[in-house]
Amino acid sequence: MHYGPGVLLAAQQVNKHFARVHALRDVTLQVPEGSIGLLGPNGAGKSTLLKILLGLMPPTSGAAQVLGFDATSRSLDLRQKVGYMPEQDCYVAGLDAVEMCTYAGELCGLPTREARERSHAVLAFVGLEDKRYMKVQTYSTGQKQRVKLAQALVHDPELLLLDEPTNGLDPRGRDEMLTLITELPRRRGCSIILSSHLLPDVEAVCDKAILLNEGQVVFSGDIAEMRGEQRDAVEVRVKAEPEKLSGALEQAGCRVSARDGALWVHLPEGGDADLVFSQALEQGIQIRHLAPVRQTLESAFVRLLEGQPGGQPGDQPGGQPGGQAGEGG
Amino acid sequence: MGIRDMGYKPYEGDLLPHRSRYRVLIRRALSLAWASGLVKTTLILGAFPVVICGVVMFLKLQAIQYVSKMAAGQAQGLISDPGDLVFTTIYWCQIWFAFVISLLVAAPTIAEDVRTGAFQFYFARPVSRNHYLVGKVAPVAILVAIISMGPALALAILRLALAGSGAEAASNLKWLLGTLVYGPLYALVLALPPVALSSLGRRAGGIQGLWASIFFLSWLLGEGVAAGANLPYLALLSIPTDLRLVGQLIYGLPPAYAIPWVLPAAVLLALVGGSAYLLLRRLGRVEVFS
Amino acid sequence: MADHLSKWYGKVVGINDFSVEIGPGVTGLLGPNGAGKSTFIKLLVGALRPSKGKLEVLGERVWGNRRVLGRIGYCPEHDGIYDDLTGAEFVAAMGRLGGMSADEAARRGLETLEQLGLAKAAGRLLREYSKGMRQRAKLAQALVHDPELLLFDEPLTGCDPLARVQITKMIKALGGAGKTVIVSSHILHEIESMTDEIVLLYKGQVLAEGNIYQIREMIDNHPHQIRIECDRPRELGQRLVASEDVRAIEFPGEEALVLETANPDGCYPLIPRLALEQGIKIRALTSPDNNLQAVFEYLTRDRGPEGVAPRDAQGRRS
Repeated sequence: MHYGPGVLLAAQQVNKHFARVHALRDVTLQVPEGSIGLLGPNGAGKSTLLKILLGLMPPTSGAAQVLGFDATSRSLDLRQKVGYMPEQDCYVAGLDAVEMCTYAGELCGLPTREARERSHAVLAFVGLEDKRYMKVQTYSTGQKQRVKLAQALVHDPELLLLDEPTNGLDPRGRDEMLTLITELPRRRGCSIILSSHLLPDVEAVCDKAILLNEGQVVFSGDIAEMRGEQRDAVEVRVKAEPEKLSGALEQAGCRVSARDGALWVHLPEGGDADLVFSQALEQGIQIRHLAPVRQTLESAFVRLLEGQPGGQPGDQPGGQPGGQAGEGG
Repeated sequence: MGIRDMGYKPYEGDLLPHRSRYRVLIRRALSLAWASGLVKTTLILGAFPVVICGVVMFLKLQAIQYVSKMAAGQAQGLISDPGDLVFTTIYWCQIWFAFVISLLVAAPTIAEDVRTGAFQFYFARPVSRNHYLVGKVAPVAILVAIISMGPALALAILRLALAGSGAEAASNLKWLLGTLVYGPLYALVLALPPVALSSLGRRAGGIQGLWASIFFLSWLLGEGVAAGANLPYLALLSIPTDLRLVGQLIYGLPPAYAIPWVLPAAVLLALVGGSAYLLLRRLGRVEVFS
Repeated sequence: MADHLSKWYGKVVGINDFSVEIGPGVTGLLGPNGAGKSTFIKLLVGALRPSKGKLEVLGERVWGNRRVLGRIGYCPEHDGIYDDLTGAEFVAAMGRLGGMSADEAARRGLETLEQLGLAKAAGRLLREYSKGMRQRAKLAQALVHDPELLLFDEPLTGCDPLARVQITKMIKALGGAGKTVIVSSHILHEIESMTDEIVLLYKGQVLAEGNIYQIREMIDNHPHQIRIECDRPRELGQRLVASEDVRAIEFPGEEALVLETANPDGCYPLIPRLALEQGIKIRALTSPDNNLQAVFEYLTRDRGPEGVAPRDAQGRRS
């Protein structure tokens, strides 16, 4: 099977059986290069899939290719081009940060001198310049996270696998980590697979996602597609007197429902935001927020996993019937 | 010219082939071992016995010459040829140091890796299982060889150098050749089993205790009971004793126990082979990612 | 309620001259590492004794006071070591520690486990639980004795998104039922999804307390930002610049403009009026830094790099 350039990973009918568990079922994927989120509930098979993609475990049946290399037969070459930032502790006892990154580089085939140079550069990139000569086992959580990122970058990978990269970091640390991660594809053109339960992080970094559940692929594609944006509904927040506005809008032909402190306004045929604004001006109401209704990744996640068909954000479970041909995942 | 981009840059240099990994792993393990104060001390202290033995060898040879001049012919066999000091050194003197090295370096090694999550470090890279295993066993074997085979070779060469005639040298060549055969086996026996043991758990201290118990208790059981109860075959249980018997066989010395030589050899081979098998099996099943 | 509270560990200050009052409902407790959050929490659960000042929990001093401890539920960040118990046993044991009888504890234990979706796993050993399940078991033991004050330290670690949604709903419900719930977390959007009331700690002191949006309005040196997505931003910008309320305008992209104002009440009505007059179609009107992430950044960045745009609700920098 020949996959052209631009395909990050591909899997055909990958199955994996453990003793009593069917961990992956007929997983078939074709994912282009870019930043991709790997999502799914606990036990969905994400780590099994990652192990198979890295060639650390052969699938029971089926095949997978990553960056053009077959995952099972050319695993060593494949791992040359992949950097992995694990979720748990990962260090070699007795080494300081520079030594550890140098070692990491050497193990990828970089000559020692180059590895050491890269090691210093990469540690500067992740912001550990001041502490790089201290032993890694003495680091705080945030520093350990940064070292993990550094050792994944030393050999300049084409694909970066990140597993809960912001674990244990305080808000500033999370921010800095996410900034580093988003900067990488821009600078280097590498692809990223981000596995995380923190969906807002995934939204900030990735534009595509793979959603697994019980070993099967539930969704694979753009995040925007997964969320679904409705052109003809807007979410509106006002400073005061929302009822006045909703009354006026309903008279003007909109369907308005109130949720969580905001108004969801379904516009009539041919209407747009101007309608809302003009009504608000007439009524003397200050609009403080108006945006097309868009689901969060979280609600899309929940929806997809509960198997509800279509994504009508205006629907309450068991509530109003939708009448809109919205775009749902 | 202009402003330099200080940020992350791609790597455009050479890459070394996969087999260079062996060297990288071994080199790093050796430097980590050397960084430990205890290991350094052991290696340095381990150099002393050989000096003493060397002096004894020299003096003995002088004594033999003197005696044979005084009582021509009759003194044959009065003082034994000091060539056997080679075996005495490699076994009786150096085994303690070799054991300490295996305790400090080999026994904790894989358990530590499990604890610190180093598997994810190694195997996310182009490092195969074989690279990793050789990278664990070889450094220990090298250190043990340095501490045991090194002094023995030195003494063997000394014996040859002190040989009065070509014929004497020829008859003493066996010390050198024997060491070249015995040394590697010795190193493997002290390297593979503890590394295999260390793949069984997470706590380095526990594994070290286990290895020490196996080594010394088996020695006690084997030699103590065997000698006391006159059951020579029981001596096979003791790893050090097996090593001793095989050494005596290789150097052509009279064996300590009346056992056919195949048996201790077989025990040692089984030990080494079994350890290798255990390692390959354990590493096949280790979780790399959560 | 804490009044001029201080706690020192030898020379090292944990918290210093700390005064805050927290009432019923859900309150978020946040701050960078080293700000004193864990010290404060330990003081609240009676694990530490104040060095100076007064601390009253549910109207009583809490250090050494077992009765009041029975009315507090605490879910710590770190894992306990009760691997050999089953889920049900663990929760029941915690209940008995809180003063319940054995039967009641067992019954309530199963109830709370069910509430948290662990009914089926209640009979299995804790050792076999996944990380998310252990987290939920810890939450169950905090709830089992039906306490009035609940302290959750990083309650959602290890939980997958489904569990997050469920537990967030539960926490909001508890707050709505009149209990005092304090949630400490580094993950700001978690706190945002649970409550609008926060206490922000910084360098051992209370830097801010109250409603997020009110706090935002109080931050003077970062005037209110309004982002307008429309088809002709520069034209709209031209009209807006004429207004005195507008302090600065930026054009982060081809179809957007961000303006800064010290008087949002003046700007908000102005924008749609100008747009409608000119026939400019506005697609979206938002306030990108009116969220907890921005509040946190503005308050804790020590004169840091100005001009670093905060993340908007989607986490992207403008």
